[in-house]
Amino acid sequence: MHHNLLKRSMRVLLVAAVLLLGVTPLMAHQAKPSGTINFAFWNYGPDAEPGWKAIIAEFNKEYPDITVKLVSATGNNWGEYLNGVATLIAGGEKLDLMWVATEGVQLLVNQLKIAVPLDDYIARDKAQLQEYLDDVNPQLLKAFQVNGKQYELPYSWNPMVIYYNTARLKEAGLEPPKANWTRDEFLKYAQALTVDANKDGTPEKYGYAFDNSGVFVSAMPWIFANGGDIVSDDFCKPTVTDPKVEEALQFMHDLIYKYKVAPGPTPLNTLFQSIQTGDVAMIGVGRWALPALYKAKFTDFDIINWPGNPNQLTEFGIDGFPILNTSPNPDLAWEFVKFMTNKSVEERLVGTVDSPLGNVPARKSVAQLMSKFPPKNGLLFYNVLDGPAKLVPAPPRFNQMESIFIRYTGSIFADEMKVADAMEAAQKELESVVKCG
Amino acid sequence: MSADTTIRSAEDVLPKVARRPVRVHWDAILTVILLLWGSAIMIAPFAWIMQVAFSSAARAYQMPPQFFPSSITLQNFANVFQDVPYLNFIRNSFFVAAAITVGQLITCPMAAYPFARLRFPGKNVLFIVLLATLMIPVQVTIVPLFIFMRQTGLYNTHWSIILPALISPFGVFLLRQYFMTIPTELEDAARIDGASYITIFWRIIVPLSMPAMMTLGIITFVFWWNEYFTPLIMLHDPELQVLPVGLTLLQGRYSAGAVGNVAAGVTMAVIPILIVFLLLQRNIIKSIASTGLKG
Amino acid sequence: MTALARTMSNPLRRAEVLTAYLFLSPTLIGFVVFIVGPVIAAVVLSTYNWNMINPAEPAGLNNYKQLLSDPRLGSIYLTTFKIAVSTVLLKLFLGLIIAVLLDTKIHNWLRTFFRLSFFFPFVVSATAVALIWSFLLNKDLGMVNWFLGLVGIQRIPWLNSSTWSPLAIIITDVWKDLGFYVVVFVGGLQTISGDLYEAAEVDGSNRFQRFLYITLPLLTPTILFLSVIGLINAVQIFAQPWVLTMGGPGDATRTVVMYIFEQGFRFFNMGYASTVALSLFVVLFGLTILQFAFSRRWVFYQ
Repeated sequence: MHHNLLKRSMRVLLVAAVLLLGVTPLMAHQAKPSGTINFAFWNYGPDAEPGWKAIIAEFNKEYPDITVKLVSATGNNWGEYLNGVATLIAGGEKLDLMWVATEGVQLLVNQLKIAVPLDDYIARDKAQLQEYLDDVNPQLLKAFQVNGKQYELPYSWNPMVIYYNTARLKEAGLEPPKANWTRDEFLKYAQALTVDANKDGTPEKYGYAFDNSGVFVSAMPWIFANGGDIVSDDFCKPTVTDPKVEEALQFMHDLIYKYKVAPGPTPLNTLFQSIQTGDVAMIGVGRWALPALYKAKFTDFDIINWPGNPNQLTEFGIDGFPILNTSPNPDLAWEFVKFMTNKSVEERLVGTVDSPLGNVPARKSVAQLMSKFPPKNGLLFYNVLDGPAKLVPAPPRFNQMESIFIRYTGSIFADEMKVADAMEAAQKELESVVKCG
Repeated sequence: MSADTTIRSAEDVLPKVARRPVRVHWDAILTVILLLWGSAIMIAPFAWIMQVAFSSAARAYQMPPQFFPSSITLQNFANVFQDVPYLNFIRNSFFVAAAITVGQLITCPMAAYPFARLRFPGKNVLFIVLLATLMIPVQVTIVPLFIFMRQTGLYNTHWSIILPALISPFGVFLLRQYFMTIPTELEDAARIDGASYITIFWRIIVPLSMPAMMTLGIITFVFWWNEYFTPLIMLHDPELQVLPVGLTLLQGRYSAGAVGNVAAGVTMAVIPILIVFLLLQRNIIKSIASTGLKG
Repeated sequence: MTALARTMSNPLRRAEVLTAYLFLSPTLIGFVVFIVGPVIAAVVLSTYNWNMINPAEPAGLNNYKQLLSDPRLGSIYLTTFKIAVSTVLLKLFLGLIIAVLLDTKIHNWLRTFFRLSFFFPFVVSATAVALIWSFLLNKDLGMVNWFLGLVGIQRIPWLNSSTWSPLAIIITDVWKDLGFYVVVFVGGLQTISGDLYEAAEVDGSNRFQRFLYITLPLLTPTILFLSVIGLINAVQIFAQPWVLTMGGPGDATRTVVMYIFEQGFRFFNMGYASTVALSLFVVLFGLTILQFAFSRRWVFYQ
């Protein structure tokens, strides 16, 4: 590939220049990229490791002398995975790279201070990367900037959207919801889709259901729809007592106890079943639900934007690969990071006939390929970025913030604490965890 | 023939077994009914989870609860092997549990023997201290052990679990109690013949303690086969993980693991135990029963 | 000469002592390295703040101050003991009843079947048991609520309510361990001589009286044994609350060991985690001593 040639000649020039200037002895070693890099990835389940092995095989076609050692860490969500990696680092693992999402950026950059800014590398290889930088929505790039420095290049991401069972809608005589629907309209849909045939007070089929195991999947989309947030924009203080936040939580509570259109918080794996059987008509999730539905050959569903109240604001989270300052080979790691921006790599995200991976690719051109797979409205996964979108709030001590917040929302959704009391207590606890300086 | 042997009725001649009770034993019937209810509650969850494992995903939560699958599919089992390195889990669990069991069956009798038979300074104090450690919750030692394993490079290897478990105060206690019930005549005779302590230990005590050793072996193996907390902390790679932790890995990202797959994973974890249990149950239960007697 | 010096000057006795320590050496080494060492390290660690990645900072007694003023810890301890004591009492009660029932005259193969079916859950891993019950206790889809519905009881939010979730944990734990208690009691029952029962029967007692005045007193050593080890284990259960409720809602089913895990391995407050763990040790130690002290009042040794 001509890219390869360009890279090689640039390298030689660079080495020569550095030798002449006598700046960094490290650079002198870069005659030919070779060595081993340790790459930590989130081993969340089935396709994770084989997927990465395939990518590394492709990487090795270009860079046969760079060995990429996979280091796996498990977890039920990004937060837990981060814990796992932190434990690995504490365990003495010399990681060069890791796969990390929004939730970890502040932690790595500001708290642990182990992420390496990529700006110099990007400037150096600008010509090579320009095509990628143009192909990625600016909101995604900005998501990985801290204090004006770029720490990761976006690889894949997920917005929260509403999935609905088309058969159930038809049954209830409903038209598919419009893209700019409001929360009130959503409620009407949920009510029409809740069925209590034997009138015993407990519905057999619910209109909507949600999981409360993480902030990303549960309360944040509703809080964003209200125009609120749980921390200030500078991540320096919690804002859970904001009326916008409390009202959103009250709404979610009322879905269960007042309008009775939702069961209590239900784990997502159950919801993936429930939407197929029709026991629940609507759920909120990102693109990563697709593998389960695809494997089950389920196609009676479609997606639509999250309703606004009244203004829509889509929540999203994004992931990429920061280089860590514990790396003995940051330049090799950078080669891998650049490789991951290639179109061919991102195409794997969209999926193959046997296994759609599930995340949305960062490149718009590649994202178009999502139309090859269900649902019909699949391109919405990328096109939400045409409207307002906001990152999941991720202060440095994200996992602690999340743990405290979902503990209190758990009490609210169990109808055991009033929203105001819960958030007042949460605010106090959060203040010791979300702060600056 | 004396007069005492006159036969008075058929009952005197018939063997006892042939005699049938004349009244109906209501308490026996009531007992059986109560116990049947109890057994049903014990068995039903297993029957249900196996039914879910063998049924297609959509029918997982069908009510009224099914205990026999109406149509058998092996898809869930196939999924499990695809999703997680399940065979590794089994192999790892076996290796860890076996290594620890063998280790304890060596160190525990060795330590129990002096406490049961020998006199040495510090004997009582040492024994009490050893017993006291039974009360130390694993959480106290796990944090420093974690740090220790990390610094010796043993973190994320099976040795981080095996090494600390090679000794067992519980095992020492169990065997010491058993040794003390062995009559000393054999040993006294051997001592007179000039046998060393080591010979006595190896030739007399150990062979006579097989029941207790079996008890310890079974209890230890089952305990470590089922252990969740320590491997959760000491191991990171799924390939190295043990079965209990592996089962939770089936739950997947944001709990996206399908119910049928988890059921299949659990079923495969339970069935080998069931088989081994049925084969060894007499020994296992006898061992546990005798444990309480010495308490 | 001291007793020790006298011992060591006698060659036979010297051999005995050396042999003793030789045999003890593997256990002693392991004991020092893997038990004593870590306990001391835990005490030291409790005087530091350390997140494993940045260097440890000395914190003096701050962690202990935090322990005493921690708003969550009091209720977490309460929850832990509420659950632990309930499970032990239930296991003792049900275990004894079932053991007595098994002791009646029923067919041998029936008895074996019952014994096996009660004991089997004990040998299954707590995680597998918790996973199974997490499905059974699902509010809308689980079997338990379906059966309750048959008798007209409304669906109970087993896994999402501070009233019911502790009960869910108790049910799961008792279901799993009951067989062990049954079997130990069966063993204990077999040590009671049949002569005692026959004599009592001849005296005109009924079955219940025989149970109360013969069986129960003679089983008190067994009950003590079970309650001591039972409480120590029950306080440390981890898999059941972890899988069923993750400690929720709020802190309703959060046990002390879950809190230690959270502090140490989720938030990386290694110093504080050690402090809480040491407090648990102190509490367990105290409780065990108390149990033994009180045992003189009610335990009857033959």
